[in-house]
Amino acid sequence: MITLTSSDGVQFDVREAVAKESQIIRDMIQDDCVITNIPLANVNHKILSIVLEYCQMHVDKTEMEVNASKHQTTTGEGSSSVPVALKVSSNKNLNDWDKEFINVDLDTLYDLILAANYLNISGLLNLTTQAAADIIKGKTTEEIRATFNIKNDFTPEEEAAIRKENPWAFE
Amino acid sequence: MRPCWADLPCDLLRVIAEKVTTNTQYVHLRAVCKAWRNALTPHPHHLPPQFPWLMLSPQPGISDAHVSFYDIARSKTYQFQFPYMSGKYCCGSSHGWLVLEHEHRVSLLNPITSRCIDLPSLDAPPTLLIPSDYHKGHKSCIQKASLSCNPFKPGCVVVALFSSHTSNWELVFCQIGDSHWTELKKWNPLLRVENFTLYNNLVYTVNTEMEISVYDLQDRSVWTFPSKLSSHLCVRDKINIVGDAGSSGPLIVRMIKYFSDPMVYVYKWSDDWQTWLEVKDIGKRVLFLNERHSNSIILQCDEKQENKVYYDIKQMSDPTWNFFHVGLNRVNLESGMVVPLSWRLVFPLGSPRSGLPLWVTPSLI
Repeated sequence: MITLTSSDGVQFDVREAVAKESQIIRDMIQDDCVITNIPLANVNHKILSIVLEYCQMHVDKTEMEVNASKHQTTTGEGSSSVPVALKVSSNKNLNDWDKEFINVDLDTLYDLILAANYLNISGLLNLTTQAAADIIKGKTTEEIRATFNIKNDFTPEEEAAIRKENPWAFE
Repeated sequence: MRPCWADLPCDLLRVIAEKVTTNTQYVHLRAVCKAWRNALTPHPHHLPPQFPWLMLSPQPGISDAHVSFYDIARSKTYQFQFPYMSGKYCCGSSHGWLVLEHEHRVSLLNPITSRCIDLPSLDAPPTLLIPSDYHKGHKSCIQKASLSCNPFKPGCVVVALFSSHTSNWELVFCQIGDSHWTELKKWNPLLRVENFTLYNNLVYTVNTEMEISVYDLQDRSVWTFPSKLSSHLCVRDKINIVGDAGSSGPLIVRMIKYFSDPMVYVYKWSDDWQTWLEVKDIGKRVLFLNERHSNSIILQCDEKQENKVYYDIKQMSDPTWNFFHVGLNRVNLESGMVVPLSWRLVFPLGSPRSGLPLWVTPSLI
């Protein structure tokens, strides 16, 4: 077990495999194998608990697959298509789970992107940035500003010049 | 404190922007705020090929350089002004760039970014491409030109096919930055190349006898498919050749025009039969054909669009002959069913927009 401490001092005890979903923690453990407590200065407890939920789920699914394929090879039953089918269905389940998991408000999504980047969890970074891109999809500049609560800091002249660069996009 | 998306670190914003798939969406994203605009390049390399626009180029010699584009994906018509295009002939379009020719000078223009690149002059030594007695005031010398990739990507090659009456040369090529054009030696000196396509650094040509030859731009070798297309080219036919990803040869597309709607036939090389076979299914792909200019594009698409061919038709249907119409049809390859798209552009005859239609895949690089 490894203890992760959030920026606001909350401790989370997790299995080493779950913590190692983060590349940065994996590197720390590799460098110093007796490490048991890792303080995470950039992630608060609310976000860390969500990140750990993601890691837990992905580790569980991977382990389930490994066990299933081990069972397959030791018993030697059935054709080789079974684990493939199992893998496909479990990938589908995991994709559905990811989709449900990432259905969060924009403030949380923002913090999750930063946390996934800081902890270097490539799967989570891909999932969160794709979610942000999906929200942007089909929206105009004004709609993106309104959705993400971003202030238009261009002067009217600057804004007109931007539109003039690619007028077709704003028609 | 609530997080502010405008303060998202640049590298993370770029990761999000790289998941955006259309030009329009990318342009809108860059216009949100100063921080985002500064973080995102105006010329992104990650965007996939876009759904083409149909361009009506200006008529050379008219100073007013209005150009119209029809965007099928958004069902919109855009009007652009290109003083740079004024007086120039548009002899090709590929990877988002137009190939322009004016008095033996050749250049490239990206109509979206307005960036231009000069290519070697057709008069540049050592090769004299155009006979000295050839009158400069004549129309364009190049019948068709094509790019191997976007010129801002490494190793871009431009290949040009000369019109039969302008030069003894047929196919020439140059790289961006070259001082002159280089000839591709003819495979069959007796027959003229009817059309060509440039794909994976290979130039596929089809000649008037329907022989299909392949020139390798890297080692300059040339070979010919063991059998030719088993149909004769009629005067009314248009033969197109399109590079096809994941296939051992190009697609040959033949348009036969009888009375109203042209018939479209697509042929593909069969390794098993060692011959060209007609195909009714091009999978999740769409062909964009051009009746007069033979600039064709193949695009991977979603289910909504698969197995379709778009082509433009240009007709003088106004009884007073004062106007001409440019229309767009869509044919389903499997059923052969033609769907005229509701769009019709009507222009006064002799207006600056009455150039040949061309497909352009809009590109931000």
